[in-house]
Amino acid sequence: MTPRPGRSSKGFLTILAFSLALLVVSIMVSLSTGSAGYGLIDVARVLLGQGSGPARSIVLGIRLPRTLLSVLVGAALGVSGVLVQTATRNPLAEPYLLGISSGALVATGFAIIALPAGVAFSTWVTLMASFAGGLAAFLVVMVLARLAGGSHTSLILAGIAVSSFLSGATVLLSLLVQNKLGSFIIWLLGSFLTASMEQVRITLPVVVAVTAASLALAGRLDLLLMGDEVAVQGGVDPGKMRQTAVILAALATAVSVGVAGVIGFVGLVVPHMARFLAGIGHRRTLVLSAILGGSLLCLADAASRAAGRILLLGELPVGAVTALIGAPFFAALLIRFGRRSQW
Amino acid sequence: MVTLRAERLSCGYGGRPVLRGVELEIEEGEVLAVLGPNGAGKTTLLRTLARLLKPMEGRVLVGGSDLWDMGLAEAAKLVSYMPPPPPRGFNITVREFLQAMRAPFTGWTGRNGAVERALELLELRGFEDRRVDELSSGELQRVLVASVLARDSPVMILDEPTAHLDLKYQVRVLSVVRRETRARRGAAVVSLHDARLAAMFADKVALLAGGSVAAYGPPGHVLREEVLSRVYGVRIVVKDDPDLGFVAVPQAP
Repeated sequence: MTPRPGRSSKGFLTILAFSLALLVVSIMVSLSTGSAGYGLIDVARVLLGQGSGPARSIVLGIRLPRTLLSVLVGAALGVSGVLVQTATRNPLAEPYLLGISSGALVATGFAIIALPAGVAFSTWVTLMASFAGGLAAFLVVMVLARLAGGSHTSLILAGIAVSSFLSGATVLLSLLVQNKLGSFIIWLLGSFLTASMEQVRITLPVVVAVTAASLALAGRLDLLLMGDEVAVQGGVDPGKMRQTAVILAALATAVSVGVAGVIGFVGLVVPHMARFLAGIGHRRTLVLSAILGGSLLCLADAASRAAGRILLLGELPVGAVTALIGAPFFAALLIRFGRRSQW
Repeated sequence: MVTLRAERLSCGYGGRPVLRGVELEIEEGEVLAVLGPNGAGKTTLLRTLARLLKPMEGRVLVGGSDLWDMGLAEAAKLVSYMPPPPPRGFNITVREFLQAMRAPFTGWTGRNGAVERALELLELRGFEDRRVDELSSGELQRVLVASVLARDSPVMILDEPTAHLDLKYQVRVLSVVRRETRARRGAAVVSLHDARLAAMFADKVALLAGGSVAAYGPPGHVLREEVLSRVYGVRIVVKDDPDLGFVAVPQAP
């Protein structure tokens, strides 16, 4: 018999402990990675309240916000991925399916055109523009899905329609912003280059609130995943539940895109990893997805800095790293588990 | 504590009634067996009683109140209907499935005495951590029945609960359903094909045929040779043997 994932409560606690350990390791790796060359020992000193002035300012002032932001965005994408896959009952769905990323990109493109170079990236203005653009596109998707009957398929199709339209607009905009194309590409591929404590302070409450709300709804999400009729039988209105799940995902995703641009693959893959490890129950899947999403994106960001230094490219966009590492890893998972689980 | 009534009920799909003028009255602690040829409307009736299908006419009353006048959540607390199995490929264990089915009524941890009790009652100990899509059809059937029991609702509606079950578990499942219905002072509706099981476990039998209730009443009144033979269109010999109990045997034409 094939070994099955540990599924008793004790088994889950072990998995939880391992993923929390992974998170701590990822944070330490990320804090120790950078062009200034302060390694693990310097980081440990700084965290213990010692260390030189420059070490402190590099580790706490530059690397810490970046590390925290990547953990938060990873968690947001992981949780949103679970919510969107359950709401659409589609294991291939991901947070960007809802039109949020393309809406945010178009709005950001307009902001970059309107603002002088340098100001354009990562100011409050672009953050707000991308947040508003993402939510606006999402609202259009929701209205379209509602008009098309409100089923889980209509949501996917409406998302595809709006995203395709906005991708066209994105290409057009990228031609228009050619002189500022560098900052736009960062958005298209995602980056934590401009992470600041201020962004952490904006992202943290949203991510915590969305995760807590999703956990409170975990039982209802279980029923929704089993089917609309099963949800009705359990006293849950599937249409309303789907809407709630998607709105929560949209909030977390819009903030993520606002602070870090579009980072692919995390929202698609992390929920599957969580389900492979702990089954499809949402209480476990959501917690694991938040932790694993945070760890993996944090590691990917560290890798993007390290690889950039080795390749003398300065820094790789983190979205490229998540795709380069994530896709083969996902393929390996598929081969290992795919025969038994589509979910 | 709870009675289940159907008043002048017409039910069906897309404006076309499958059943008309259904009148049923299930007193507290009673089990109603619904029998009838394929396509007679057993599932349609059960789904309407479970608030999954809106009646075209008439009302479904639980404890005197109309199921469609109350909210979804309130109705779900009163009535539980046997769910379909989770789709193949779902990484979900037996216990997780039972917990999910009663999720809205359970606390945050998902731990629940009713789930453990249902596992016990249907002899599913040892299966808790098995994946649902890797069970045999008989084991799966017991899990689906267990999920109804675990909901702890006074009204239980089970569409062919004995399908796929071996001889032992056909009897076991129905006696558990009857015992629970009595203990909860609730009401149960089960659709069956085996008239013998209906005679053993039901307090009332409704025989569906020709778009309505062809016969309704205590098993001894409904499950008669001439009634069964007429409804099924095949000669059925009925015996009430002192050793064997009630037997209904269709004869080869």
